[in-house]
Amino acid sequence: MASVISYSGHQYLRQRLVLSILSGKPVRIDKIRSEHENPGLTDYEVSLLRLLEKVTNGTVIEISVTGTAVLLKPGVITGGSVTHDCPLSRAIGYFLEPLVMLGPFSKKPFYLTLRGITTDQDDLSADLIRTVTLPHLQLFGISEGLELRIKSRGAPPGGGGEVQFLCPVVKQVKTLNFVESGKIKRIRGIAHAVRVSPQFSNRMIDAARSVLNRYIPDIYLYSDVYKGEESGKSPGYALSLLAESTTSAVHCAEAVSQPGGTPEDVALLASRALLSEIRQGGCVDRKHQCLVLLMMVLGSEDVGRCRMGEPTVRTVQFLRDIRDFFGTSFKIVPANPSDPSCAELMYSCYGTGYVNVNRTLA
Amino acid sequence: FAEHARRKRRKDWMASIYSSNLTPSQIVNGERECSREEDPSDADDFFRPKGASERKDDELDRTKEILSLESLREWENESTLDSLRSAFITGDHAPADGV
Repeated sequence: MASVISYSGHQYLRQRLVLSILSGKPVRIDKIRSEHENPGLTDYEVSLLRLLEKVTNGTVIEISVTGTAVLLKPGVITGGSVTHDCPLSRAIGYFLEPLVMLGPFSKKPFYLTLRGITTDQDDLSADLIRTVTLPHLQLFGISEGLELRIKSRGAPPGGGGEVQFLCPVVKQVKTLNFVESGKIKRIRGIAHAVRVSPQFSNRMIDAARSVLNRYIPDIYLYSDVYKGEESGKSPGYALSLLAESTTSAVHCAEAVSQPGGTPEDVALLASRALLSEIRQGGCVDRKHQCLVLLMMVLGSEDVGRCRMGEPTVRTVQFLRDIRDFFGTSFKIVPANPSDPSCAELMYSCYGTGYVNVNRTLA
Repeated sequence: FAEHARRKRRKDWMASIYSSNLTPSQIVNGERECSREEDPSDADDFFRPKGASERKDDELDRTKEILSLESLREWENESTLDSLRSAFITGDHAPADGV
């Protein structure tokens, strides 16, 4: 058996589980909230482990009696048709983000149905995953049949949303060479309001335009209407924005309704967060750094390069974890050494030539 | 001098990630404090929300950062807004005109 990689603490649980399953190396995580009032795994973490069990075959998960330690011996990613009810403590995005990383390397194409909260303030909403995360996978040659359908929306706390995630299977991912960030050529957005006045969408769109119109005329903000059963069980509204550059680099931001807030507040937050994101520069949005870096490591045996802004806290730990599981270190140098004011960095690595051995040969 | 210190630190990304014992937030926030010194007008706005978001980042495995109007207040400033113009196709020339 391959040696077990050990970590302590509840942080970064998702990425470690994903890396374990992809690399085939078992992972043990202990001291999970051992000092907390409620020690051990939370309900959503347990739910994620169960979901990983559903999309794989032969995975062994051992949770200690107190719940403060977990051992995962990865099996084969099988995919196929899976339905999972996500607990209402976290949004669907929490569960979908790791599965987006696993999907392309499955035995059978994913046909995943997830139910729960589609948009909240912690995780990527279903809208952003559909419009931003999945296009990032396309950079690596994963595109045909890649789809996220939002069947119904669910705002916290009641949820009631449902999404379907379809992901094709690939043999190998392409090497990325994404070094030109280009200029922003258009801004797109989705405003939705469920179980509140549909006027709220329009108010968000007007307020966002008041900030963004100064930059570019090509702004299309779509008001997405869901009615009746499809609008979930709780009231809520949100605005998801994305900016696309001439080289198809995408930056995104999103804000969600708060109790006592107004649609204008949400729109201002989202618009300004988008501007902050654009200022970070690079070809990849900060929320998607990990996904892109992972796919670069799994790329064919060639040097992949990508220009990005400074790493986030999560990304730094992710880079360390990647080295633990795959032995790959990234070369990270200033993208423009002659210009000290340029904070963009060039990330490059030699792909591991990861081949999807799970894939059934057609 | 701040510029020099920043450049020096920036070159150390690989070293601090792969061969130091700093926590990820020490690595990232150390860097962020540096870039903040260059922009003293933002200094007061930044401190409070940063502390708050850091604590919660520790708690939750979250993808989106916590947004607050305070931490984004710099965007109320016209010159900050204009500084970004060059990132758009419409802003190639003369970044200050055409409001």
